[in-house]
Order: sequence, then C-alpha cells, then structure tokens
Amino acid sequence: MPRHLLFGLICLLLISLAGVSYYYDLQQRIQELVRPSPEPVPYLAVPPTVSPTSPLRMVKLFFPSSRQENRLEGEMRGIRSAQLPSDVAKQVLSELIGGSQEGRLPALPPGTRLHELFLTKRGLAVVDLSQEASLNHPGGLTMELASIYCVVNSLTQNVPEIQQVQVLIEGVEAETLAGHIDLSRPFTEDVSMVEGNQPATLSGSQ
Amino acid sequence: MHIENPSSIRLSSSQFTSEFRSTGRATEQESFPRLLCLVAVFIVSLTSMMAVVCAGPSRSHVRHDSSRGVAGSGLLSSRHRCSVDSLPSMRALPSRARAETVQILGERRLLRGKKGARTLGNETFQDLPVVFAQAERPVPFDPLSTAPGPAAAQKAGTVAASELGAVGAADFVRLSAKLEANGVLRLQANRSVAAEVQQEGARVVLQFGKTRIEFSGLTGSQMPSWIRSMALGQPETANQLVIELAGGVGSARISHLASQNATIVEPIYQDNPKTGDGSPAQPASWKWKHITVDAGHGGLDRGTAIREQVYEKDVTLAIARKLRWALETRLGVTVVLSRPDDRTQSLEERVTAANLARSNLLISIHIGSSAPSKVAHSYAYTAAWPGEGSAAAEAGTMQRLFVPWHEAQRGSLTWSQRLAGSVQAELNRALNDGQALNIRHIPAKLLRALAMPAVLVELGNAREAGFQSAVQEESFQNLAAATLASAVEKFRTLHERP
Repeated sequence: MPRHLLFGLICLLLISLAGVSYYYDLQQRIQELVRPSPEPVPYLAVPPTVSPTSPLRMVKLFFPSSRQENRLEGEMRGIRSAQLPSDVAKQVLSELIGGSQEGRLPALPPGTRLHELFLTKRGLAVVDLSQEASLNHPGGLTMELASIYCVVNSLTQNVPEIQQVQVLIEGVEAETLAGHIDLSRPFTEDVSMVEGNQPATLSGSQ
Repeated sequence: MHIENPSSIRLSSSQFTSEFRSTGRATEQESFPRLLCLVAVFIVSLTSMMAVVCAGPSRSHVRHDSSRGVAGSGLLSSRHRCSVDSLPSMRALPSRARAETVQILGERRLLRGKKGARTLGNETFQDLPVVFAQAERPVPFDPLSTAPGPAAAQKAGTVAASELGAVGAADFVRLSAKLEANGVLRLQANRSVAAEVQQEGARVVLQFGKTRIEFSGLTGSQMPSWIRSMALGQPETANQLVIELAGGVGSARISHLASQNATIVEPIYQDNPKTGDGSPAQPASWKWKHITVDAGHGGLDRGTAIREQVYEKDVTLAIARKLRWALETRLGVTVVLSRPDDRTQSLEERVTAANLARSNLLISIHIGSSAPSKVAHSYAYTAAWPGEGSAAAEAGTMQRLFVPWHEAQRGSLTWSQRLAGSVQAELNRALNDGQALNIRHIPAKLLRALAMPAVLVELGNAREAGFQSAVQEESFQNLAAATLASAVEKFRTLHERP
C-alpha cells in the first residue's frame, strides 16, 4: 500500500474516532439536559419489611408548630402494621422525614435520610440519620430542640418498646445537631413542648 | 465488486479496506484524488476546530497580562498597601532627582537619589519597592514589613504619571479617640505602642516616649461631660497626650488592651464612688481572675444564616470581641475568647479549655432563629438534664469525688441560674423592651460539662426582618456587649459577696 494512502487512512481513522467520541459526548450532554428531574430520594436506606397488604394503623407524628414558638403539634398518619417494633419505628421516621401534610414546619431538614434504626432490649432506639440532618439544619436553639423532640416523641409515643432515643449522624456519635443540644446522651420522651401541656424544658424562673 | 462512487464509502474502516483491495489498481488510482480531497477537508476542518478551541484561553491570557500591566509592577501585595491618610506629611519629589530637601514633621532632611537606592540622611532605602499606579494620586506603601534596618522607620510612595516619589515619616502612631456606648473613652492606636501614664490631680498625661503621635480627638459635641479638654501636650514633639478631667471627677482609671492596641480611660468620680456607667467601684480584692467568652459556632459550623453571606458565627465573634473588651475594662480580669477567630472548634475543646483554665465564669453568645416567631426576644439559658434526675442528682454530684464530665455543671447550677437571672434581667431591660421574660433550661452540650457558673445567651431572632439588619450594626453589637458586661458585673458583686 502506498505511503500517502496509509497516511490518509490513519488520518481518516483518527478523525472518525474523534468524531465518534464527540458524537457520544454530545449525545450524553443532550441526555443530561433533557433528563427528567431525579427521582425523590428515598428517606430510608433500609426499607422496613412490611407487607403492602398488612392492615393500616394510625400513628401520631410531631412537627414544630408554624404558629407558636417552642411548640410541637401532633399529626395523625396511617402506616402499615408490622410485627417488629423497629419496622414500625422506621415507618414512623420515614413519615416524619417526609414532612407535615398540614402546613407545619419540617421536623428534620430537607434531604435527611434514615440510614438505620435498631432497638436494644432495654428500649433504646438508635437512630442513624444522614449528614443532611445536621448540614441542612436551619439552626437556632429552639428549632434544634424541636427537631430532636419531634423524633424522640414520635418514636416513644407510637412504639411502646422505645423508652429512649439516641441519635447518630452518619453512623457516629455527633456532638450536636446544629451546635447547641447534646446528642451524645440518649433522650427520653418530653411532652412539655407538645401543645396543650405546660412547657417545662424551655421555661424557668428568675 | 466495483465501486461506482468512492464518496459513498462511509462504512467502517475494515469494510472500506477490503472493498478497496478488491477493486484493483485502476479504481484505486481513480479514487485517490477524491480521497485525498476528503482527507484534506477533514484535516482543514480539524485544524480550524483546534484553532477555535485554542483561541479562548489564549485571548483570556492576553487580557490577564494586560490587566496586570496596568495595575502595577507586581512588586507589592495588597497587604503592603496602606491608605493615603496614614501618611501624615507626604512630600512629592522627582524620583530621578539627585538630591532633595524634604521636611518631615518639622525636620529638614536631605533625600538623595541613587541608582537602585535612595538615602535619607544616613538611612538608605535598600530594598525600596517602586509601584506605578494608574491613579494620579500617590499610592503610598509600607516598607515596614519588607525592608529591614533603618528603612523601617520611613514610608515612601510614588506617583505614576510624573514618576514622583513621596516620602514621609513612619515613626508615628495614629491615635484616635472614641466615646464608647458605656461612657468610657477609648484611645485606639493603629499599631502597638508603649505609653507611660502620669496622673496629677485632674490632669492625665499619656507619655509615648520618642514615638510621635498623630491625634484625632473628639469634637465639642462628642466630648463627654467628664473631660474638659484633650490634646497633644507639646505639638512640636508630638509625643504626649494630655487629658484634662472636668470638675467632680477625681481621677481616671486607665487600662491598656494590649491585644487591641487600645487604651481605655474611665472616670472615677470624687464625691460618689461610682464609675461613669453607674457600676460600683472595684473593691481592692476581687477573687475573679479569669472569664471565658464563647463565640458560638465558627469555621465550618456557620450557625444560622442571618442574610446571604452573613452567618451567626461572624456576628457572635464580633459581639464576643466587644464583650471581652468591656469585661476587661470594667472588671480588670483576664478575658479569653474560646475561639479567637473564625475557626472550627468543637464544644468539647471549648469546655476543656475553660475547665482547665479554671475560669470563674463562662458566657456563650448565640443568635436566635425561630421560624414561626415574629418577635426577636433574647434569652439566657442554663443547663438541664431532662430525664436524668434533678435536684437530688445535683446534690449527689456535688458530694461525689469524681464527677462525670457531662454533669460537671450540676455543682455550679445554682450560681449559673443566678447568673442567667442577672443576664435575663439586663436583656429584658435593654433588648426585650422591658418585658419580664424568664430564663430557660436546655440540655446544651457546652453548658453541661462546664465546672463554673455558665450561661448561654441567645440574642434575638435571625428570622425577624428588623433584627436581621440590626444585628449586623456596630451599635447593636456594642449594646449587646455592654448589656452582657453589666449583667456579669452585677453578678460578680453577688457571687463575691462574703
């Protein structure tokens, strides 16, 4: 084969190669542009083992009030019955992370996911949340306290096996959720912030 | 197999090759020029594409270079620049002149031009960088940090258009007087300077040795009632500041804040043992030695967002710095910030530092954020252990030999609550429009482990529009710091009462 022909062929090969790669790159970019908005991130990394046919049961979730400062308001929600208390707890938290349906403030910041939830025999629920719970938190002491007690009270009120709740962030013990409240110790139920009760935690006297 | 039209060859290269071979020599020769054309077209288009791709960066590179060329020689970084008004006596002289007499603060000095260096008296500007600016006004720069030796005592600058150099004395300190919100006088120097204080009756003299002072005082209306006059004692030497106190003021308490290059002058009244802001005079032997002021959040933990690019961590640090100054001057104790700048510091580290320093008190500053609330109330918080026992546990902890780290606060809780009460009373008066709001108790990570009276203060509400703008203002921050300082001062009289 003559040399100039070989040269021409090599050039053609290179050019076609570049053309093909450019075509694929372009196609990928177009696909990225027209791709529909991403699927909503599932709130649970490990879904509970619940049969879709199992009967519904009502649970009471707590969300920060949008009208009053330092108040939590209850909201009824239907979940699937499950044999294991941890499966009930996971559903409760999933619903809680999903937010209020009646215009209350979010209990946990957007983007939060529940990595894992397990129960010890002594009634301690260990809740492992994703880092968004801390990173996306709007801040403020009262909002932080409300977030924590929404989780704690929603779990303790709906799952009788749970007496205490320990919150982890990304699988490890965190100092705080938003810079104030101690997360290193487990929390017990505190309904003093719940509407209709006398506030205790946040009040005092001079 | 015969190919009618070689331009139809758009198949894969292997197909192309095999078909080409099968056609024989005649076809090969016939199609070759067209193929060559095709290749040439491809190469030309490829080259032009490459040219287009490369053109962008090269153009921007040129732009970048030209902008640097205009801005200057690139010898100086911005930190070497100083504002024009910090050169008190600036003289312009032709940089190529052999010698020029210049007058610096009343002294006539000979400035000689030399290749690569200039001399002023016996002092030579060896490493004097020259900057050419686009502006017509002189751009002074500060060779203090770059030129060692005698040149460090001088400043110089050049004017771009005429290549003029300007030289002025740098051996001066710019001192400005400012009246603080709590009625004390703050003398702020632009750099660190040593001053000797002499008090003779109602006359206070701050002697600055050989350092010359450029002083900007207060105008008549700004002058507080307790100062009769304030001026440089001897204008020609410009090294002493004389403050004449008004009648009724016995003497002044002078405190130096070395960390801030500031001196605080506070009146001590003759007939009435009270300072200007109504706080009691300091007894001889206060037991307090150390106070920790904690600026909430910091570094990666930005706290709540007050506005775009304005975060809680910055505001708390600003208030904490002001509070440190206020406490240092009022109480005369060492005040340490748990984080001196914008750095990430865990709560555990802050607690450890305060406990190890055996601080007498800790006050932590935060900004509130409450979405539903339309009001911006400020609260004082103390530690709580919900679900972990109460008064009984507190008593138990106090008697135990070893105290769990997270319960160290139990022993000081009573005093913390009194401190919080004092803080809340002051907050109610100054920031809560006189409303009688109560202190609050929370399971705060920081407070629980502190082995001293400790309070966490949450100021206002970052979601409230009025507060959002107020909290960034110096006046609000001064007020907050003064309020907290008053509360601490009142608490001390309570705490140290025998």
